[in-house]
Amino acid sequence: MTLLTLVAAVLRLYQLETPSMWWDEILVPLNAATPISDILARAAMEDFHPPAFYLLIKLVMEAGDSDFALRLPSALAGIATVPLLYAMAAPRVGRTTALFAAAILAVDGPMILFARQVRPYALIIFFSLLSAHLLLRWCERPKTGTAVALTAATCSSVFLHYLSLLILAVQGLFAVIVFVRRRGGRPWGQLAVYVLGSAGAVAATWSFFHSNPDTLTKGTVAATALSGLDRLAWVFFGNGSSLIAQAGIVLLALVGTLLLARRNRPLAILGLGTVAGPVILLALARYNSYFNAWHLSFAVPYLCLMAGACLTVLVRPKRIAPVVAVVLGMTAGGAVLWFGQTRYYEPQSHTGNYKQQARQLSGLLRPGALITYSELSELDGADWYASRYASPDPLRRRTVSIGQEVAEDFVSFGNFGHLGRTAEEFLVHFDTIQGNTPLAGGAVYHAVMKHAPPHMGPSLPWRDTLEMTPWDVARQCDAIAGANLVNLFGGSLVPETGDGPGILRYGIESSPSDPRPLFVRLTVPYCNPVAGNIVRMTYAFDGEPPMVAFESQGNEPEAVRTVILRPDKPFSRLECQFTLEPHSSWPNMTGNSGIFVRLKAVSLYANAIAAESLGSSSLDVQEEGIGPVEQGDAGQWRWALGAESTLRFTLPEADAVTADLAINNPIPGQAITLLFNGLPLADIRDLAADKWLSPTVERHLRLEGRQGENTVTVRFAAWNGKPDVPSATFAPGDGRLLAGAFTRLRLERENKAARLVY
Amino acid sequence: MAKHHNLPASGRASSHDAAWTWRLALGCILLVAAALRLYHLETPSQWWDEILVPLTAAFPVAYILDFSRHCEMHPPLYHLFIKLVEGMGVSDFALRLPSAAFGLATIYVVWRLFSRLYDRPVGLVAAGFLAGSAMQVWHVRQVRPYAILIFLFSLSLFHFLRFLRERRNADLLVVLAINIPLFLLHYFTFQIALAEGVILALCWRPHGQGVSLRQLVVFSLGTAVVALPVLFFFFLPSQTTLSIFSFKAGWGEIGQLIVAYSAHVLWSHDDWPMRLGIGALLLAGGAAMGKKTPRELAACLLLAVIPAFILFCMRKTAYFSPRHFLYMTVPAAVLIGHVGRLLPRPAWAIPLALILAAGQAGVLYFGHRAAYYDETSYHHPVFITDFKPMAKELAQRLHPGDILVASDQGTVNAVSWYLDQYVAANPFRNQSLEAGRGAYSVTFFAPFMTWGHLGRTEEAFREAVGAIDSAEPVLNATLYQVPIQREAPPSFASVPYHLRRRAEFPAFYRQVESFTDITVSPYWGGEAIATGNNRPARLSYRLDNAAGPGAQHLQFVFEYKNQGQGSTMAFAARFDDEPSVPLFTSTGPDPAEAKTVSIGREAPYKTLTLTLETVCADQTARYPGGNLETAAFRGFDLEIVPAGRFDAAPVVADLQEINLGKIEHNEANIWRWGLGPSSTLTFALAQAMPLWLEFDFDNVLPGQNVVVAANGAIITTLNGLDAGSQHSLRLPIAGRAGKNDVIIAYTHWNHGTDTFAQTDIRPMSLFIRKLRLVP
Repeated sequence: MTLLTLVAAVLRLYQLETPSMWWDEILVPLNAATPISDILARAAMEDFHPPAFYLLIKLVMEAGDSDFALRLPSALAGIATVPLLYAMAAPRVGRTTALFAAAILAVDGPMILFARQVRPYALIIFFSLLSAHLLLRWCERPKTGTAVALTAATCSSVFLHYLSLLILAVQGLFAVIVFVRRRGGRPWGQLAVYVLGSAGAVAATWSFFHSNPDTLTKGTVAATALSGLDRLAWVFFGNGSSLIAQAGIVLLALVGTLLLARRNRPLAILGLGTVAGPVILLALARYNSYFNAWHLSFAVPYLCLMAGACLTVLVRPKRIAPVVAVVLGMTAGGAVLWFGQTRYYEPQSHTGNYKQQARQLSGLLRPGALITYSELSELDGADWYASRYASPDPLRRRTVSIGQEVAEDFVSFGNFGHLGRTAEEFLVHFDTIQGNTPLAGGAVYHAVMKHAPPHMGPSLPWRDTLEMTPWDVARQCDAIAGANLVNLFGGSLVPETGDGPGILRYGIESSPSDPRPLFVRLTVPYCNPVAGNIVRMTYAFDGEPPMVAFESQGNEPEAVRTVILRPDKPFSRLECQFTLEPHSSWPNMTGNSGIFVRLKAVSLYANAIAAESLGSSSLDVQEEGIGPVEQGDAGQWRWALGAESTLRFTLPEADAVTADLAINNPIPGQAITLLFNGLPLADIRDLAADKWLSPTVERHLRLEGRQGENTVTVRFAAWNGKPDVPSATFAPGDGRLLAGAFTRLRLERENKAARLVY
Repeated sequence: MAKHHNLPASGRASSHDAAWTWRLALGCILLVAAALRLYHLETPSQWWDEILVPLTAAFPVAYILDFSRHCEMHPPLYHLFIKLVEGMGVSDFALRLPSAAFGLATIYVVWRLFSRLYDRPVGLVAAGFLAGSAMQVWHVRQVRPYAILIFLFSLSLFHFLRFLRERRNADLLVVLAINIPLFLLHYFTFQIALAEGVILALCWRPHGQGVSLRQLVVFSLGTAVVALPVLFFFFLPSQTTLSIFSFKAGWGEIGQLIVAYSAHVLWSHDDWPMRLGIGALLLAGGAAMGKKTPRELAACLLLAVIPAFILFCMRKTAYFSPRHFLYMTVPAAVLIGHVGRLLPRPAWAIPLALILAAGQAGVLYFGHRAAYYDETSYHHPVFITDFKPMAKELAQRLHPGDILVASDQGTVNAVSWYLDQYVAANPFRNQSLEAGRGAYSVTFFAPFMTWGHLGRTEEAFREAVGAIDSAEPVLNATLYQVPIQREAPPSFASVPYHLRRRAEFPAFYRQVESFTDITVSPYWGGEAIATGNNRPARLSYRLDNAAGPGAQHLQFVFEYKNQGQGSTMAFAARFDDEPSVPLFTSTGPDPAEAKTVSIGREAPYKTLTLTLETVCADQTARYPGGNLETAAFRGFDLEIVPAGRFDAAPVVADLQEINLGKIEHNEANIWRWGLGPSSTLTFALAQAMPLWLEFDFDNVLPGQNVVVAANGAIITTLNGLDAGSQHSLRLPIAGRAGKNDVIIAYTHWNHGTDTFAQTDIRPMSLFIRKLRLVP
C-alpha cells in the first residue's frame, strides 16, 4: 500500500506547478483574493458553488499563491484518498480487492486530473469517502467519537459543493435503514449528532443556493439517466461517449456489487447506492443543466472497488494477486508518466494559456501603447499571473502616450470580441498595421492610429460621436488611464480593476465660423447599477478649472445623462473628462467588480443658440412622432408623423418654458390641437393647405412647466395616406404618415444657466 | 513547594488527565507554529544562500556532486532532495514547503518523544517553546537544510538520551542510522558526533553499569563508516570548505561570537526581556532535570558545549553563523520542558506551554514582522540584491531582442531563476546580433554598484566605456544604455597584415559581426561567454581581403579558457561561401589558455569569416549558481603573411610548434622568435620520406650556439655565431612514418645568459625568417 500511495503521490505531485490554470481553476484564486464578504456575496448571487472552497484557498493564499500552493490541498486530498480507500475496503472485502481498488484509483486519469487542479472535487471525493468509511464503522460499532468524526467529514463534504447533498442523501438513507434494522440498543444521541450536524451543514450551504429550479433546463428521465451513465463512464474511463464504456459501467456496477456483497453486504450496498443513487435522483428530477462528469466524481472510488473485486476473481493463483495489484499500479503509473506527459504535465495540459500569456505579454506590449483586449475576463486570468511576474503590473495602470500618432496593441485571446469576425474585418479600422505577434491562444496586433481629436466647426450645427472602440478611442481621446475597453455590444469603457478609477479625457477643439453664442450638448449613456460606485463627468473651457457636470452614485443600471453647456463667451477648447470609480465591490465571475461601471459611446452636438429652431438649447427633449431635420433650398423642416407629435422633457424644478412652433400644413381641412401636460392650449380647425414652408399656424407660448415630466403634444386630424380621408394623401409615393411640417419647433427654458443637466 | 512527579518508564506516557486536553493543547501549539511557519511562506525573495540551492539542484547530479566537492560548504544530500522537489514546482512556496513541514514535524516529534521519555508536561512545554522560537521560525522558512537537520537531530537526541538511560543497542543503532543523513546534510554533524562520542566515553563503565566497551566501539566504527566517506569524498576535496578554516580569528572574537550566537538559541532578536525570561526557564528546567536525570542533563549540555568548544579551539569565524547553533534549540527545549515538572499540577503545563508559544509568536509577529514576512525580509547585508523584486522589475524593463551585459554573473543567475519563471524568453539567456545590423545599444546591468573590472567607481566605469545614453536605477542596480556604433569589417590591401580582436566591453559589440546567445563578462579584460548551458553559442568576425592574388599563410592565436568537463569551443574559418575549415576544437577541461593554429590559402578570396561555437556543458560546478564563465573566448590575433616562410608542405601532418613565437612583422621584416632553450616541431608523416628543413635566421646574441636535431639525430651544429650574422640553411631530414620531431637548441636567450630586451619577458634566442618543412 505504501508503494501504491507513493505512485499516487508521484502522479499527483510531479510537475504540479507546470500547467497553467484554466478558466474554472483561475476563477478560484481570482475570487479568493477578494474580501470574505465579497466571496460570500458572490456565492449567494453569482456562483454555482458554496463559498467554502474559496475560503480554504483564501487561507492557502496567506501562505502562497503559486500554482503549487493553490493546488496542494487538492493534491494532498487526492493522494490521501488512495490509502483511505484501502483502509475502508481491506477489513471488509479483503486486502487483495482493496489493493486492486487502490491501484486503479491511484492511476485513474480523471482522478489524477481532479487532484491537480484548484477545484474542490478531490476534496469532495476524499471527504465523501471518509464519511462513508466512518459511516460503515459507526454502523458496525457505534461510538460517540466515530459519530462526531462522521458528522465532521459529512459537513466538510457538504460545505464544498451542492452535489454533496446527493451523497448525503444516499449515506443518510443508508444510516437510517441500518439504524432502524439495528437489533439491541440504538444510539439515539449519536444519531442526533449526525442528523443535526448534517442538517446544519445543509442549511448553511443551501443558504447560498440562488438558482431558481424553474429556470434550469430539464430533460426526460431516460435522457438524464443516460447522461448520468455517460458522465460515470467519463469519470472512470476518461471517455463517456462510447457505448462500450457505458455498458462497461453498468456491467461493472452489477458484477462488482455482487462480488462485494459476497464479502460485505453493507459496503456493497453503500457502494452501489453511491454510484447509482445520485444518477437516479438526478434522473427523477430531470436535472441536466450544468451537469458534467465532475459532478459524479465521488463515485469513482466505489467503481474502483467494484473493479478490484472483479480483478480479484480473475487473478489466479490468489496468493500472487496482491503482488499483481501492486505491479499493476506501478506499471500503470509508469505508463501515465510516460504517455500522459501532454495530458497532465505540460504547460497547456489544463487547456489554460494564462501563464504563458502573462509571460509573453510583458515583453510584447509596447511602452506607451494603448492596450485593448478582445475579452476582459480572459485578461483577468492572464493578469493573475502577470501581476505576480512583473512590477509594475504590465497589464494595468499603463501610461499611454498620445502624440501625433497613437500606438495601439490589441490583444486577441483567439477572437476580436464584437469588433469583427475575422482579422481582416477587424484590422480594416486601423490606420496602420505594423504586424502581429503570436501569443499562446491568440495574437497581439500592433497598430498605429493618427490622433484626430474632435474638432467643432467650422459649420454649425456640428455632430460627432465618441465611440468606445479601440480605434476611435486612440484617435479621439486626449488621455486614458486605469480603464479598459469592453469590445462587445457596441463597446464601452470600464475601470481596469475594482479598486481604482478609470479615466478618459477628450479635448474638443472649437473654431466655428458663427460668432453667435453656442451651446454644446453631450449625451452620455452609462451603466452604474451598484450603489456607491461613481460615474462623473467634468468639463473645462480653455484651461479654466474643471467643473463637475454630473456625478452618478449608482443604482442606475441603464442611464443616459444629457449635459447642455452654454458658455458665456466663445471658446477654443472644451475638455471633458469621464471618471469611473468602482468604490463598491460586487460579485462577479472573476472578482473584478470594475466592469459594473460602464461608459458607452458619447454623442456630441453643438449649434448657435439662436439658430436652434428645430430643437432646444436648454432642454433634453424626447420626441415621438417627429421626423429628423430635413433641408431644402427654402429652409429646414421636420415632419410631424401620424396623429400625434409629442415632446417630453423633464424639469428639475418648476420653471417657465417657451414653446415656439410653426407648422406648415399640406392637407386641406386639417385640424391641429396643441396640448401641454394634457391640457389644451389651442384647437385650430379647417386649415387650408399652406404654400410650402410658409406656415400659417405659428404660436409662441409661455408654459408653466412643473417639476418632473412635462409633455407638449401636437395632434393632427389627418395625415398622408390616412385610409378614411382620401383627400389627405398629398404625397402618394411617400409611405410616411406626413401630417405637417414643423418649420419651428423649439422649446426653451427661461433659465439661462450655463450648465444644464438632465 | 513544587510537587515532584514520578519518572515514567520510557515508552509509556503518563496519564493523569484526560488525553484530549493535552491533544487540544498540542493542536493549538501546532496551529500557532503552522501560522508562524506558513504565513507568507512564498513572499520573501530567496537570498543568496537559499537560491544557490535550487540553482544548483537544477543541474544534473554530476554537477551537484562536483559542486559539493569543489565549491560548496555543505554535503550534497539537500541539493539532491531539492532536485526532487523541483520536479513538483519551483515556486518559493514549493521549495520552502519541505522545510516548513519538517519544522512542524519537529514540534510534533519533540512532544511525542519527550512526552514518552519524561512526561507530557515536558513534551508539551518543549513543543510550546519550539513553536514560537524565533530561531526556529527563521530557519525553517528557508530553502536550507537546517529544518531537516533539526528534525533528524530531535529523533537522534531522543534515542541518544534513552540509550544513556537504558543502554539498549537498538537506540544506539538508531542514532547511528540517523547520523547517516545528518552527515550528508551538514559538516557540523562532525562536531555533534564527536560530542556524542565523548559523552558515550564518559558514560563508559567497565562492569556493566554504563555504556559498554562494545557499544562504544560500535558507535565509533559506525560513525567512522559514515563520516569517513563524507570526509574524504566531499569535505577534503573542497578547497572552498577548507579555505574557511585557514583564517584564524582571535580568541576574544570567537568567544564573543559563540556567546552571541548562543543567545540566539534563547531568542534571535535583541529583546533582552525575552532572552532573560527564556533563559530563566532554561535554568529552572535545567535544575529540575538535574535533580531527576542528571546524566541526561549533562548529555544535553555537553552536546551544546563540545561543538562550541571545538569551534572555539579552531577559532573559525568565517562562515560561522547562528544557524549552526540551531540544533541547540532542541536540547534547550528539553531543558525548558522540565519547567513543567516543577508545576504543582501536570495540567498547569498546558497554559504554560500555550503562553510560551503564543507569547513568543506575538512578540515575533508584532515586534519583528518585517524580518520574516515581507518580500525583502531576507535581505542580506552582504548579498544585497533582492532577486525576486529585481526580476519583477526587469521583466518589465528588459525586452526580447535586447542585448545585455551584466557585471555579476551570480546576480544574473539568481535573478534569472525568477525571470525564467516570469517571462517567456529570459533576455539574459536569449541574445543575438545579426550580421549587418547598424547602430544599436547594449544594456549594461550593474547590480549593487559593481561594474566588473571596468571600474571600481561609476566614474571609472564611464571613463572605460565611453558614451552612455542613459542610466536608469532599478532597485539597487543600474541599467546603463551604452550606444554601439558598428565598425565596418576590417579590410586589408596587402600582406603581411595583422588583426587583433578582444572580447572587451564595449569594443566587442562594435567589432563582432554576429553572435547568438553570447554575452560579455566584464572581467579579466573581457570574456565572451555563452548565455546558457548545453546549447551552442556562436560568434563570428569578418575580414575582407583586398590584397589581390597570392598564396597566404594565416596564423591564428586564440586566447580562451575552457575549464568545464565536456565543454567544447570549436573555432573555424570560412573563405567566401565555401564550407567552413575547422581550425581547432578545445574540449574541456583544457589547461591551455591559448592556441596557435596556422592554415595556408592559395586560392584568392574576398572574405574570411572566423567563427566560434561554444557549448558549455553542465558538469563542472562553479560557485555563482552556474558555470557559464568556465568556457570563455578572450580574443584572437591573426597574422597573414605570404606563403613560403613558416608554412609546411601538405605531406607534413599534425604540425605542432613548441617554443616558437607567433609570426610578427614590420615594414621591413617578417619573423618569428625562436625561444630558449629550444624550439621544437613535431609532425607526422604517412610514410617515410626525405624532407628539407628550410631554416633562415639572424643571430642577435654574440657567441650563440645552435644545434638542430631531427628524430634524435643531430643534423647540424653552429657554434660561436656573431651577433647580427645571417644564416640560410637547407637541412635534410630523414622523415619516418608516424611521429617525427625537429629540435632547435640554443645556448643563449633573452633573460638567460644575456638580456637584450629588458621589458620583453620572452626568452628570445633567434630571429627566424623562415622555418618550414618541404619534401
